[in-house]
Amino acid sequence: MEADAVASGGAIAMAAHGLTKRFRSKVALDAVDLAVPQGSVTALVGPNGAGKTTLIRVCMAFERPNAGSVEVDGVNPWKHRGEALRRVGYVPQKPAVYGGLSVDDNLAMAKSLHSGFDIEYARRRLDQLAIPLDQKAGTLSGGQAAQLGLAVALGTRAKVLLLDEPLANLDPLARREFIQVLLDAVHSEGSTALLSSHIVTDVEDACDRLAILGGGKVKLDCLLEEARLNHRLTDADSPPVGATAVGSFLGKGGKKMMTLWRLAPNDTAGGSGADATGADATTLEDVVLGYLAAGRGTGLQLN
Amino acid sequence: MPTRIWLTYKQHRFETIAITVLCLGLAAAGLIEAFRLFALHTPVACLGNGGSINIFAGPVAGTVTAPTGIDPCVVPLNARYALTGSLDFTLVGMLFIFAPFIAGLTFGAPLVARELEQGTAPLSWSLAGSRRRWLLIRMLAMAGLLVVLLGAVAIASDVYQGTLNPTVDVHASFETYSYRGVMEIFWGLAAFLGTVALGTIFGRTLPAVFVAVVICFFARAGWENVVNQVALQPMGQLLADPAKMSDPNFNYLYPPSDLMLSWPMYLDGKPWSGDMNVWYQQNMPLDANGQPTNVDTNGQLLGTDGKPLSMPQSVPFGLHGNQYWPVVALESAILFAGALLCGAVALFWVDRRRPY
Repeated sequence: MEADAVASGGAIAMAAHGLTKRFRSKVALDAVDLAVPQGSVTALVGPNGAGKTTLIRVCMAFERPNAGSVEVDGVNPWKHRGEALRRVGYVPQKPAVYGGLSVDDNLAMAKSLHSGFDIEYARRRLDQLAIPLDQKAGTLSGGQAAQLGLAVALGTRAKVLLLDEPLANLDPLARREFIQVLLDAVHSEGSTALLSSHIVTDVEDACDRLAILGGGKVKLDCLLEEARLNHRLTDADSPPVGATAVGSFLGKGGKKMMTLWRLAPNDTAGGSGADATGADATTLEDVVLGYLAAGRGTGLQLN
Repeated sequence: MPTRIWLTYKQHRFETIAITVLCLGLAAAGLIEAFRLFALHTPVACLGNGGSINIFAGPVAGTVTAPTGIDPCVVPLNARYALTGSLDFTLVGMLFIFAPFIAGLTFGAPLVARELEQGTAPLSWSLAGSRRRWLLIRMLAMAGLLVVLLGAVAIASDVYQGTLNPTVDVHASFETYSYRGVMEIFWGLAAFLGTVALGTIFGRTLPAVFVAVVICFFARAGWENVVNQVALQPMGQLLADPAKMSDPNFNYLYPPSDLMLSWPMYLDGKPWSGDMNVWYQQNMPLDANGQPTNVDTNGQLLGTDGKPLSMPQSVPFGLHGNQYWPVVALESAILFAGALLCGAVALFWVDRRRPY
């Protein structure tokens, strides 16, 4: 999968090679190979406990891998932490703001900690969102606090942005605003983003790549459009010609089992619409659910 | 750097304001109490030997004239005792003991632990790059403020002690020397960096405080015993001539400004390490009534040869008050070394621990 990304051309912003991380007997990452091309916005999707946060924490040198390695913009964070962290903008799941300080003080703190922090850029971003700089960060709404966290990450002008489920606690409107700000910044700065989430719909419109993580392994790593085109969802026993079953899960309404099929190469005609086999239009959520169901080995309940 | 120091104070403004008020308030209270005591103008001659209210104290200042009568001293001494025994005066004295620990623990515990508790450490550490430098600057910022605040307390505590014993130079006296003066600053630094280390290891503020309180209690309670027996012994000297100790007319009462380390036994001017009971059995035979048989009419113990017999005597061994600065420098250096060690542990640990 890593090779696919490399073969698709362009440099790699973040790469994991055989990355393994164990917490005592629990394997959080199991020989993960992953490559995030430069300039891409990659969704790192998986259920809780899939290893998404652990992968990002290894990239941040918060966790030491048991085997394998990871490189962020060509730098191994565990061996050269300072150098690696200068290249990374990080947004943790829980908004990490100094609640007792004002918004502007939070930016000043970031400036004092990171020599390359562009405080004016971060202020402008927050100003566009009408977040008062003199307001105490502890009194911001969840969405505003997340935007402050994002502004701090963007202010570093880092080449790689690692976002660890920043949308998890936001309402739909705040999620949409957050993603819009992120995309604007990534596209204007040419940076790379790895956005982890367990909510597929959040990342569907934002990302151009998809990496599905389940049980500590990379189940799928490809372009988002490829994921849609290369899979079919059917309720029939007869699969699309040459297709391979990925996983079955209970469909919407909970009345029938649906199966996700991976199509044979060169058999992607028909797009994501219904075809002659009776397959439904394949959504990204179907793809993700199919791979996660495969990982569990049993039918997956779809709510 | 100045921005980060300022933001560190601002981030910990509750602790900063509380300890600033405590230290400056205590310094002011100490000076006020000292002024009140000074304003009583208690005649030096009424203060007993050595100008100290310690009536067992021996003469320190030769110029002190002993009181010629009791009556003239009753009123001023009663006024003095009333003030020094009052709640506010006692409270100030006690706070001089506890202030360095309160300040050190309050500044130290949240410095790293709160970042971990509130989830800001991952962001701070990802921005800072070097966690050691991040912590070092924070430690220096808080330690700098601590030194200034405890410096005020140190000055006030010396003035306070000075008025308690007006005829003795507080910098040439071991009276309460480890609870006042520059020792206050170094106790505070040790408590501060020790608690920073505990907070870094535990990652939680309250557990760090609890453990720090226990450690500080034992460190403070055992300090004199350990330091006196280990570090100060080489500096000590005999404070009385052992040859004169057997003289019944020789009466050595050590002054409060001296620091007693031990009372080694001497016999005939030489160190003696025998068993007193055995010595008595061998040199003081008793008659049927339990009275020594070898005592002359003057009560002088006689040897078998009929000559006066010397008894083993304990001789004061310690430090004169004029050794104040070397001793304070040594003890401060020990505390400072301990503080630096704790700081090094914190810097080592912060670099290795997880930020959550």
